[in-house]
Amino acid sequence: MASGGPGDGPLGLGRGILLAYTLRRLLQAIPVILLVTLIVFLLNAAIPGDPGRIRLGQRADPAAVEAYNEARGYNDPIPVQYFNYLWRLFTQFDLGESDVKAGKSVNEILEESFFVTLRLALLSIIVALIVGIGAGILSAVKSRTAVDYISMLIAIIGVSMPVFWLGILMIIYVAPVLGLPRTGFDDTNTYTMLRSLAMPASALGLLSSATIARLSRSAMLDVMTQDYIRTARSKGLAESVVVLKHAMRNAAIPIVTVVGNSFGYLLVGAVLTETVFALPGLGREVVEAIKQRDRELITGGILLMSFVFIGVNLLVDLSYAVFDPRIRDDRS
Amino acid sequence: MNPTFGSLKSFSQSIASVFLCAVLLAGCTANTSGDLTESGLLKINSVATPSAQNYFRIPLMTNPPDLDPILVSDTTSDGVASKIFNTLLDYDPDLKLEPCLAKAMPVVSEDGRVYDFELRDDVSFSNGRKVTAHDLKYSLQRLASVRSKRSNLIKPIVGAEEAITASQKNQVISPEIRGIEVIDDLNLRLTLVEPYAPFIYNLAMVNTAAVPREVVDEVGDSFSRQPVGTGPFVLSEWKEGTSILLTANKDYFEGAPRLAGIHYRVIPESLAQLEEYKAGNFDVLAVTQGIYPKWKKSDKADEVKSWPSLAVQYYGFNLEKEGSPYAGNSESARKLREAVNLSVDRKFLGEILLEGRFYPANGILPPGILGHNSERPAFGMDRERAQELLAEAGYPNGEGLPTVDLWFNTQGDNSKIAQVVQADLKKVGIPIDLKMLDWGAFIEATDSGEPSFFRLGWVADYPDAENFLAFLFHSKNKGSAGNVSFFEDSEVDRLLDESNVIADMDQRLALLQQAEARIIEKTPWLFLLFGRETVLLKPYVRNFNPTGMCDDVQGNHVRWHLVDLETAR
Amino acid sequence: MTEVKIGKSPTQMALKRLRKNLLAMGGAAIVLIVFFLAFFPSWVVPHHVDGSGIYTYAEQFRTAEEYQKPPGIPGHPLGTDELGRDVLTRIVYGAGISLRVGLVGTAVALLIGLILGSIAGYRGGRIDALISRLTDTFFAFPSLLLTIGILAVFEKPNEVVIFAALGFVGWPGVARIVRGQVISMRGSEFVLGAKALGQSDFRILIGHLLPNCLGPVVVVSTLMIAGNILAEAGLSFLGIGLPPPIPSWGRMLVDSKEYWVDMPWMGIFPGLAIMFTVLGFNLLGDGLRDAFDPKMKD
Repeated sequence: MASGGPGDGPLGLGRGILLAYTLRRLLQAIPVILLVTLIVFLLNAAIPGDPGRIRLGQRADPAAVEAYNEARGYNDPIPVQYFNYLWRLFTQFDLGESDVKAGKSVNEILEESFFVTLRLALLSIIVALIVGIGAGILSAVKSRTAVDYISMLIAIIGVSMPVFWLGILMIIYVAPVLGLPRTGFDDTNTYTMLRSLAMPASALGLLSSATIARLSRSAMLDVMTQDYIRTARSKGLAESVVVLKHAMRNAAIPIVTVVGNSFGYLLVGAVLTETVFALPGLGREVVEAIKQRDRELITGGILLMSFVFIGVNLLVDLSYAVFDPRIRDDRS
Repeated sequence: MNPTFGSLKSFSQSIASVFLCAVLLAGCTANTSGDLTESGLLKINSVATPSAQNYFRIPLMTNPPDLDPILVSDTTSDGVASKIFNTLLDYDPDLKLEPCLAKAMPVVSEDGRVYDFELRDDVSFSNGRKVTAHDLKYSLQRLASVRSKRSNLIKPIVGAEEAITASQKNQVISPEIRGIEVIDDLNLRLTLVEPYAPFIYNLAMVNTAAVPREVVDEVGDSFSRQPVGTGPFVLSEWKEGTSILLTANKDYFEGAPRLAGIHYRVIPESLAQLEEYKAGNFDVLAVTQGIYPKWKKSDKADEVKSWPSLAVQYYGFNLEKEGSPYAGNSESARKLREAVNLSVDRKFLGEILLEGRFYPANGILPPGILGHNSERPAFGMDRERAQELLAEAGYPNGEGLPTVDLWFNTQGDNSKIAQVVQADLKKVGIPIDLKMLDWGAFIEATDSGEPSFFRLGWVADYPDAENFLAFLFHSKNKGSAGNVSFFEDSEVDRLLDESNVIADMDQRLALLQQAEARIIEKTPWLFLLFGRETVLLKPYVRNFNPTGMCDDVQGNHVRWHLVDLETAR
Repeated sequence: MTEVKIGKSPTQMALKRLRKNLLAMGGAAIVLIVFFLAFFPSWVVPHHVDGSGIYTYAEQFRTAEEYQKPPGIPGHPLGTDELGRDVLTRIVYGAGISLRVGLVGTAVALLIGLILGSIAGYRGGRIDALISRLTDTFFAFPSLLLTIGILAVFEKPNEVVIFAALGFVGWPGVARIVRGQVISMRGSEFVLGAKALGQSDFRILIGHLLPNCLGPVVVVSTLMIAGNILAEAGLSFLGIGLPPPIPSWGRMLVDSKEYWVDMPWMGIFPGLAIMFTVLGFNLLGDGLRDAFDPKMKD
């Protein structure tokens, strides 16, 4: 790690530089966020479907439909609608009202479903880390042998399966054996919650484990051949401890990156998993909204997902920068 | 050089082997389809343990969008709402109307325009307040408000049309309608603009249920999420998209329910629902593919219950679609449509593909509907005649016949049926392509007349022929009002209109049957199937007696306060 | 004096490394098999697949079970599906669909990504900033949802639209990689020399920079093909996507899933088909990545 001049903190970084980097990244995120809202809004507006007819039903009077659309502002020109939407979003943090679910605000619906998906995603990452790191270490230790290939193969097979296929197979064959609830989300208490998320989290976790496995493997291999390992070994320290510690430190950065990126993919993969396992999560909510043409819910849902993704990436970038000064100096 | 990672390695190895064993074991045990009982019946592992809390547990495919009576427009919401609310009239087990909130059937005036209802005096809302005629007036008038999805139900009443038009501007919740009069606390008078015999059925639809004004005033639009009614159950808890809990209303006027409550769970996967039913976590299950034939031959055959469904499945032609060879009044177009009808093997569809839950239709009106003609033979298959007709229409062997798209929505068996029909028509030389959309987009397209050939079904709103024939074939209902074939025939219109003003049931039905016959002659549809609703029901359930108006698992118009679970008490 | 290694170009060295990678070679073999099935289906299965396959069986039977056959009976090595059609035939013909999904989708992503990425990397400055923000924006969308959203705009999408929508969400990945490569090469001697000679930017891009991106682009394309195949299956599962009776593997899974408890072959084989195909592309892609990556040491 480069040693800097005066003003270095314990990590060898200038606090001023880190702050500057953070601010720069934040500033860069703003146009992205705005662009995201624009694109979602335009896409939404392009989706055919009359909100009034959807809300009031197929047999509703045309005049009633008109009145509804007028009241909700759907007859205004698109730029006006967009502007109003942004204004309301950033001043009141209000994402609007659902067309399909009478009287429920989008904020409410998204909040409930987001926390379900959040728990699913966290559990999945834990599974992915366990399986991935485990497979990676195993492979590195037994590198170039059959175990290596099989282990890597299993990880990649996990990525290659259609997640809903795996899910349904699990419901039919695994759930009865392990006594797990077939589907549904039960948050009466932590225990039931974990049981209802066990299968979906495993299915999803398997998806993300391959990359983690590979990274762990190469990190372990790197470390295992380093000189200072030989030195440490000659000093008589327990091998496993030494190798593991160094390997993990080496692998930490790329794994954090992957976890951050996986979060995004989990949000996507979660859609299918949530549908198969009947979990009332964010992904399923948005897909249903799109199918039912529930305007403000679609916009709100996709925006939420995008913001979370951008936020997580920002955090990952920042943590990366903390560990690797070269990144900060590179122009974006 | 490799360090020993004994513990880690064997840990991961043992995890892997446990998983593999579990999967193998599961694979071996899950396939019980080979097990037979002594009498040679298939053995099915279906646990029969009722809920410890005495709840009746029902699976739902979707979350009901609304429970406010004026917003209910789909079968899921209808099912749940009808356990929370009551209407003036209801159906008895033979599908005849009988009084519910009303004390007796209404007195109808000579000219058929005035209905006098006397209400029961012992009905209260679940918040304690007694129900009066004012409540009925308030509730019926709400159907005219701008948010109501079923304003057509009160349109026949004097002053309703004006109220409906006016309310689109003024946002009044319960606009005044002259034709709904409160004579006194227990007497209500409804006056129609002109006599309309089927009007009385509207008063058995949950949309016309009694709601308490003070609650609606208090919670506004959220009434849909916090409904308060007079019914045997009240809403205790609703986790959107997951579950709904109804608990018994001890003061229900027909007697306290024997159940402690009803617990719904939303599970969109039919396979998962089946697994849960077998695990003993549901008391009833809608039968989908793969279940019926297997269970009928098993030791659990008496858990299969079915009853005639008041619905018809058909593929409609858009008769006004430009460019479609099947559209229009010409004889050649009609022959084409008839050729299509003669090419499809309905028996295969019903008995084999759909496992006997459906059978070939013999018209538009299924059995159980007043006006059904049981003497007309079912539509059959005659491929030779079909080919003759094709040639007569100018397309020998289908040469020159443009390919038409068959549109359907992605639900249940629709895709299978469509593929088989496509294959059937291909055998005769008629080419069709398949187009699949989800329900929202599909219904919009059909309402606006986009497809020339589309799949639909019609479920009875009430068990009278007029419900099918008027909505589907009267020229004034073209488009989103229900006539999506855009059928028009002045004679049919005349017959339907006349039947509305006649009081004598037999005369009415005669006219309606004439109308049906005439419509069939014109062949606006590929007539397909009638069916039977089928469910699995646990053996310990008592008094769950569904009728044709019952939408599978929901048990609409079942006497829910009598439903009971037999436990070892 | 330092040793000078004469001879192989980076690409040739990469291919050599690739050949040594067993898993990658396995993947390549699978990919070749899929291509073969896609182009020459009739060499593998005798009957042509279309809807009329249903009736050759069903006409003679009185119950559904009689035509929903398990694997192993003569003429149907993998059994028949829920409508009586031969599973093996449908899987073989489905290979072509899967390949088309993968290739068309990836082509769309490549087209957009190459153009935008190279412009951004080469020009730098404002244009780079603009394109990069655009890339970040599209990266932020959950891809499956974006695809569903795009498809929702078209009431009744046909095959091309579906594949294009699937592919469209992949362009940011390509763009980022291309941009990175171009940036690292734009200061090279060759480029400076070509500029001095007066060659137009366009020629430089096409002639030199893009071909040198080949490695990473091939890697990402291969992995993207795998992703698109899975995505198409996912779309079919959600009810959007290619209509029946097209034998797309995803569709086969969805249409038969009610029968899996008793007739598992209907779901197992199409699922395995998807899995192996995707696996093949993934292994190949991983192998390519390792082969092109100079940091790899064994």
